[in-house]
Amino acid sequence: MSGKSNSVVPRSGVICPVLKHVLLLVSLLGILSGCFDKSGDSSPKGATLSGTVSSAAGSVADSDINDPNAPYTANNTPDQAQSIPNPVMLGGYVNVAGTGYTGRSRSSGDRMDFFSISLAANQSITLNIADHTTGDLDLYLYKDDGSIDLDNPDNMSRGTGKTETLTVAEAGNYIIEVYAFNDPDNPNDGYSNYALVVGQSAQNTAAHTTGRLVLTDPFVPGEIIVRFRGDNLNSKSNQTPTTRAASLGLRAKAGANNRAMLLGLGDLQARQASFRTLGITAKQKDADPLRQFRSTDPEKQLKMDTLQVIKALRKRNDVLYAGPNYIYQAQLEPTDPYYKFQWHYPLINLPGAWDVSTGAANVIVAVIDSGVLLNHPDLLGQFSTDGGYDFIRDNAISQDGEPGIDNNPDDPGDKAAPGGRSSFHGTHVAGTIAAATSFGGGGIGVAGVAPGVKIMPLRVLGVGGGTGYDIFQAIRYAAGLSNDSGTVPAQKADVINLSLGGGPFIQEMQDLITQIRNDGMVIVAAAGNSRTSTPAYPASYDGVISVSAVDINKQLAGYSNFGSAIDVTAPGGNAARDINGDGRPDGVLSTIGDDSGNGIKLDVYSEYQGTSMAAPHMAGVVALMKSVYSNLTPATVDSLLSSGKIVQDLGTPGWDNQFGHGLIDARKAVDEAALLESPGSNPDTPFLNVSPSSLNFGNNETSLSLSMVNGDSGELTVTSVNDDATWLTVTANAVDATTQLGSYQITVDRTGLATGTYTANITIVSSANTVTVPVIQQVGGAGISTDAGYQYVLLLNADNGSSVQQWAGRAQNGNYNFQFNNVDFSAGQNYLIITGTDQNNDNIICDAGEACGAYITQIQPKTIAADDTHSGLDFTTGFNVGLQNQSLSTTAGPLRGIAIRRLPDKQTP
Amino acid sequence: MSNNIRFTATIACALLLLPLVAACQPKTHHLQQQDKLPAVEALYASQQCGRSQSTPSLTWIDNAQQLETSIKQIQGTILGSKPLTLPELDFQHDIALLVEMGQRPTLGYQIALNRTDNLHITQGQAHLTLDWIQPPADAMVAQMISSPCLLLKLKRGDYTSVQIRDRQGTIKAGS
Repeated sequence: MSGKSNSVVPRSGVICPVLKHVLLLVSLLGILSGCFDKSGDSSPKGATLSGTVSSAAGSVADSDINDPNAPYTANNTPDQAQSIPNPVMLGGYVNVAGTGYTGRSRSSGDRMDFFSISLAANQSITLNIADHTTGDLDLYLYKDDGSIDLDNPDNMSRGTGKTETLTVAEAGNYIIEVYAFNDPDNPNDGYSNYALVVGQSAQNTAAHTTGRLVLTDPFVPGEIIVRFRGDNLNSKSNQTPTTRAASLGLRAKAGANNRAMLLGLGDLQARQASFRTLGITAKQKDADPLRQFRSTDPEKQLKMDTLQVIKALRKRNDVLYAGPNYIYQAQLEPTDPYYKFQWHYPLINLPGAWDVSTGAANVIVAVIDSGVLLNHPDLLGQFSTDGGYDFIRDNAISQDGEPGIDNNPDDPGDKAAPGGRSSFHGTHVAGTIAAATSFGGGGIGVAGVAPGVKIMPLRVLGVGGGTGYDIFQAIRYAAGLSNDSGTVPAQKADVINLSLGGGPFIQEMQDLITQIRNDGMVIVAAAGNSRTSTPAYPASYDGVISVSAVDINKQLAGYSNFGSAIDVTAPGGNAARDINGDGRPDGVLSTIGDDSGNGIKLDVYSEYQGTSMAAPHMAGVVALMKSVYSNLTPATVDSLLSSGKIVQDLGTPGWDNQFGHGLIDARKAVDEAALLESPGSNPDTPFLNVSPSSLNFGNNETSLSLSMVNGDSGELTVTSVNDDATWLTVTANAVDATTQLGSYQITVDRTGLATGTYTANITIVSSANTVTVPVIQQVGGAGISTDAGYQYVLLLNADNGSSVQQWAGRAQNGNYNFQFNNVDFSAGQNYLIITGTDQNNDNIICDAGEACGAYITQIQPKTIAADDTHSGLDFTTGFNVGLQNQSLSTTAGPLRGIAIRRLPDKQTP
Repeated sequence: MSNNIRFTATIACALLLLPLVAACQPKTHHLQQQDKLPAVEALYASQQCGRSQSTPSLTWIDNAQQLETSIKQIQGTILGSKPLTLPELDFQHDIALLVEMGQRPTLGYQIALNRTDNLHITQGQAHLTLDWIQPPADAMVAQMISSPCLLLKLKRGDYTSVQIRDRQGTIKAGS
């Protein structure tokens, strides 16, 4: 293979996108290389390139992969379980016998990988399946009490999608099993690389996501929701739901053909018949029967059987959908896939508020902004019946192709020239207030604060901003007052959101605000982003709720205005950080569009930061209050704010010029509204709310903050705060002397600690409840006895992408010391160095689930020329288990795009 | 994957590259100062380019890898967006410039290429005039942090550095 060009082979898999593009460009350059001027170069031949590849912290390789060159230790039984650290990023491979690539386990199979690990409560275990079309992998968790019963796991995730996720109920020692399911109808499938992630990211896994089948999820044992494909209906047979269910050994309990049915499992005998019908008891080609789980707990047994039947149903061509009959309880949690990145909602205690209300359809919030993408899939159906209005008079600002004002508030974008990308600011704001939100499974995109209310989109901002006159007209329209449109809405708005600012105080605007406030409208505005106390308008008008911005740590955002006009604060974000470790910037995530290509792509989301993002949190909460208490007035909101009843007090006790009365608390707000609606209906239920819910110091952070607040009304006192590690210190920072609620500083001291991973718990006891916050930190660049497996380090010709030399070998103390001899620079060659594993033994490194690295980094690969340094070429390799593997984007499936082929001849270290 | 499929895929990719190959011309001399001035073309502009510093910057991009890195930076981490597609650049004859205004407190700031007489070369330095747009002092603007940028393509010429000025002649950034 040496000296030949790499193949450019589209196929399944994922590679670092940047590296992929770089390699594609390298290939392009290779094809175009005949055009280049190869001037004579007297650079020396026979150079030596050397360096060290280090394993990324927490990297571990499965000890029995398909690559026969890699070291081998079986981990096929609980007794053979491979010990792994916590947190960990592990790359592995499993296959059913007779499936997959030629290699160590193709013939005999490597169906199960077992790992031994110590886990903290509430940690998540995520299995990323590199190619779920060739391998349906499942995840099992067993409490390691010395007698593992493989037929009776403590938890299981037996979904059919790209990931399996479990959450640990209690701390302890566990055995994790990765298992290759074999579909009897597709006997050639049953193999895949995988990446197993524990504890590195604080993933807030959304329950009931597509494909998920988890034993501990709340669902009705023995009940299944099924919808059959209509095109497979045999109309001549006149199958009734009863006969159709009976043909599968199930009982029809509700529903009808062409819509969802509720089916039930029968007694033990009937279940066995159902198993036979669905092929669950079929023998595999390697004579390994499909697993039959057995528990002495009848309910657990029924839940296991239910999941087993669902998984089998999903394999049938005539089944469109099969899933558990989930039990939904307060508190409501959205199932929209990106909700897990919306840290800003738990920060204001919003899930608790949704238990009381998600908003009423007769409540309207006017979004006076850049217009809204009316066809955004997360906003369809969320608008008031009047449809809104476009009040931009200046066509140069509007750029909507419709002269003057008009009744179309759709946002055409605000880019000044073709080829760029617009902000779609109003769409982002509207999404925060009322993006469509699903609480019952499924859902798309993000959640909104008050998804049940309606948005009145009023367009006043375009290219370069907008004018005070146009805003004046929009406010009048929202209030049902005469305006330049010649019309008024059938129902005026209840709340106005103004995520805009600029210009001086104008008496006419103050008079208008006073008038509509007296008429009952609540007006919310962004305090401004100039980090100044100089009053900004409209936020500083009397009668307007001025909202400053905080970050994920409830600290005033660096850009936020402050001063005497601030009434309240809300999340505005800081997109330069990722404190919660979810792999996304800590900005506010909401709906936008993308017009950088042809047309506008609508199902798009991004994090923005600013007081523009804080204001709609407050406007949404006011809308929830109005939904609960229809007589809510601006004066009532002001009173509740100043009394501290609907906020979490931050900074100086009481009002201060950074946070106003404090951080808006959605649960408290709707509770107070409910109390106003039905006095005496809302007994105090104080509870301790601690955020963040976990702390990950990684190997760099030394200090993080922890906020403790009362999640509801009533008296609450923190009675003790303790930790269980000598390297951890908890210090009261800004704490109320009576209640001990407030902000605490958590610091770690790594002095004298050996390289490794450390976990601890902070236990906070209050008069109402006890909260435990798990803490993880790492010392040193690599975890204990970890490495990234058997690596192939390739020297690539940067001009044409061909593999020139290869070093291959195992790690020494987590490092790979490579050297390439006789490297030819005589013709001005440039080189790249890439490394990776080949777990599935397809002779291609850096597949999905395989370790990958590049000099200097995958993000910034650097070419090496004759006059560059040729020693000390150090870089890192590790398993790519980031968001790209979770495929939350709309792309149908992963593509590897470029194949990095390893050489058959390997040097040994 | 079978060899046949792999071969087909390779051929498909090669076909995609044919226009590039066909565009290859014998090596030409770089444009000299007495030739017509290098053409400047705007490739991409946005108000959200991910720069967290408030100071302007100029990045000279003369290879495909740097361009990919810059695109990754300016496109940010949008969920669900399509990869940014740009016209092909022939770095033998072109360079790209990423001009960034730095972080700004609101929307309404942009960098634009609107003039035709925007480029002059003196003593090996290209002087490029761009519109450095900021909202009027009394404008009402969205209170969202922005970081505007403009990605340009320039023909190579007798210059080894670039200086960016606004219409008032104020130097904004240089390479």
